[in-house]
Amino acid sequence: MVTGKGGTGKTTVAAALALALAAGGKRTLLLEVEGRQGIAQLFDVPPLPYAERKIAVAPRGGEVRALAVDAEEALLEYLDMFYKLGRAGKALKKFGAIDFAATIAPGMRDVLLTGKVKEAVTRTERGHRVYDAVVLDAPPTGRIGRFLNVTAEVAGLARMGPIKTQSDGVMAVLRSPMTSVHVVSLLEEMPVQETSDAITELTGTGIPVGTVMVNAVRAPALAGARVTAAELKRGLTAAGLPADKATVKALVDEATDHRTRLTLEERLRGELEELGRPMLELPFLPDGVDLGGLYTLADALCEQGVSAP
Amino acid sequence: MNAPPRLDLDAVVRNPETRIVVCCGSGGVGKTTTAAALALRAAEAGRRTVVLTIDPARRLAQSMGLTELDNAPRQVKGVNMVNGGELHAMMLDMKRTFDEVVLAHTEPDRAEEIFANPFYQAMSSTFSGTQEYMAMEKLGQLRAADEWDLIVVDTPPSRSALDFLDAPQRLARFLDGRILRLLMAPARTGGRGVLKLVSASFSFFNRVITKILGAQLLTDVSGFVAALDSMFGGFRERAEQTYNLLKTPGTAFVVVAAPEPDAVREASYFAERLADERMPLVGLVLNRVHRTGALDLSAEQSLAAAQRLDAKGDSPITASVLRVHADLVQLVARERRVAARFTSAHPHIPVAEVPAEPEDVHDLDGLRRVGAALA
Repeated sequence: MVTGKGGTGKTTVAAALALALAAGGKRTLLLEVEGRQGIAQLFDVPPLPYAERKIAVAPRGGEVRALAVDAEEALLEYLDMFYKLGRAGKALKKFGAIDFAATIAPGMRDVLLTGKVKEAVTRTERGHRVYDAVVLDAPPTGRIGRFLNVTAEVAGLARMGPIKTQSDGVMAVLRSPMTSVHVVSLLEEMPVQETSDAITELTGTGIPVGTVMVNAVRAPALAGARVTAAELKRGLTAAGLPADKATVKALVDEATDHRTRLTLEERLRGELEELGRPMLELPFLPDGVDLGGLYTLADALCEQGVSAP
Repeated sequence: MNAPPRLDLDAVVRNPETRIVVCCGSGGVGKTTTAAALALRAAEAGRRTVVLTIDPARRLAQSMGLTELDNAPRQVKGVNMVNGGELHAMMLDMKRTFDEVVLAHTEPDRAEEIFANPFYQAMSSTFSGTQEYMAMEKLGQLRAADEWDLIVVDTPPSRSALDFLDAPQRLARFLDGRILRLLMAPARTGGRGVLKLVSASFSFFNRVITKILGAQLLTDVSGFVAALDSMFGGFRERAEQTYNLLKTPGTAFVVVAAPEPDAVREASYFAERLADERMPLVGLVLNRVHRTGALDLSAEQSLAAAQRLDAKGDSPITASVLRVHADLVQLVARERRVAARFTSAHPHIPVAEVPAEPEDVHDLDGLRRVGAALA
């Protein structure tokens, strides 16, 4: 599971993780549940249907498949699988029953979504697991606790019956060592705060927390260096660049801002370390995230020891 | 390409005709900060102002004296009041606002019954549209009280800026909707807790739901729906009233974005939607914009010069500074390209830029700096 504050690059990191875990001949499934088609945009393919499709090849062989999980489709599939109720699903759709359930009890929708994740994780073919790893681009930190703590969410609503049974089954997988929730952060104040809050919340629910994944890390240029106008003026002249007062002043200001930023980043990194979770770092991509950038991030994860069991 | 007109929000918030400012935009773009900065600016210019925030960052909330969810505005300390204005702030308590709506529309006994129902509890404290509906509801209440010169509203942290406009009606449609009426049928015709067969297809539907949900749960749903009966029409009516309030001339929409592709795309959708709805958009606030004072020194020039210095073993500090500058110039260029996606599609919408600061805003002085950038 990959969560993180909105804007931290959670979908990108989830995709890079699915690539890294598939490296060397493995097969992974990358899932999204919020109907955003973020995976399709990232891999630059048409919107994903409700079917598992191969979306990329992984470094050194291996493949990533992707699926956009839709609560309605998941329900129809579920009804068909367990009750042989093909027609019933259509009737439910016609009456808007899913919207109904999602509105009065969003926990029920989450049971359907996490139920599909469980199904993919535990699916076997000829005695073998179909996927070496399943990576979920999960809801953001503000909603992750509710989303994953499905039993608590439906407990007040369904004290017995099929929903209760299903949510208990999902919860058992989520609390098992098969699951790991990774939290994506940036070296910025709000994301670090939300990372800390999410880890506290998840720990309370008994769902295993994995790593803190620090995204968009820049090389710490200028760390510890003292920048003076005189030195810059000399250096610029030596490099054959204009060294007028305005240019020198602008560059000194930029260097000062940059160092303020570095000091803040150091402090924030320290706060993340204090959370006591293993940390992974992903480099900042100056040209924005494209397909090539995803492989760069996947390689960075592989180099830090990320691999499927 | 021509630069877009410059947005002067000072003129907007000082104008006595402006009674409501709504800050919209996708999550994580600084809506709350923008709303708070505009409210502070208006208060210090002499207007009696209230800012309704939804989910402020902890330190920003503390700086305004907001330590807990509190459904009534509280005066913010440290505001300069020489011009006769005041700033009050409140954080939306979604559940309590929902309870108030129920109480306003139903008998106390019925209200107790609704509050005790597990479905009401789940629905009134989760986010699928409830937050947006309640934010609009609270805005309607504040406006109706007519105690304020200006109300500034921060919108909920939804994925899409459009949710603020759509979610309340979605919830209202649902609460007045077809499914509920179907489920209601037994209560109306006197059957208690058991769903009567109102039609062949419904009976089939009913069997399916019973099978999936279990009988106990259906009884709860049915009870919830029956209890809500007295309120039918109320939700939709209120949602429509507030929606119409947003179309009145005293309302000004501000769309907020950061110079990032997703945020700018959302801002564009939102601007188009407001135009369709004939709702008054005053402009775009672009937060966290990077700037350089040495734009003439290009990234390529800087990197090449840094390499020359490296090769000579001369002034490694200058080489590092040049690399930092090259990164910044590239970032500035990328942000401009992203912003141009909005400004070329909407060349007449005024834009105000707030420069990026190394640290987040978390005190009144920080808000004043943002406010000054918006003026």
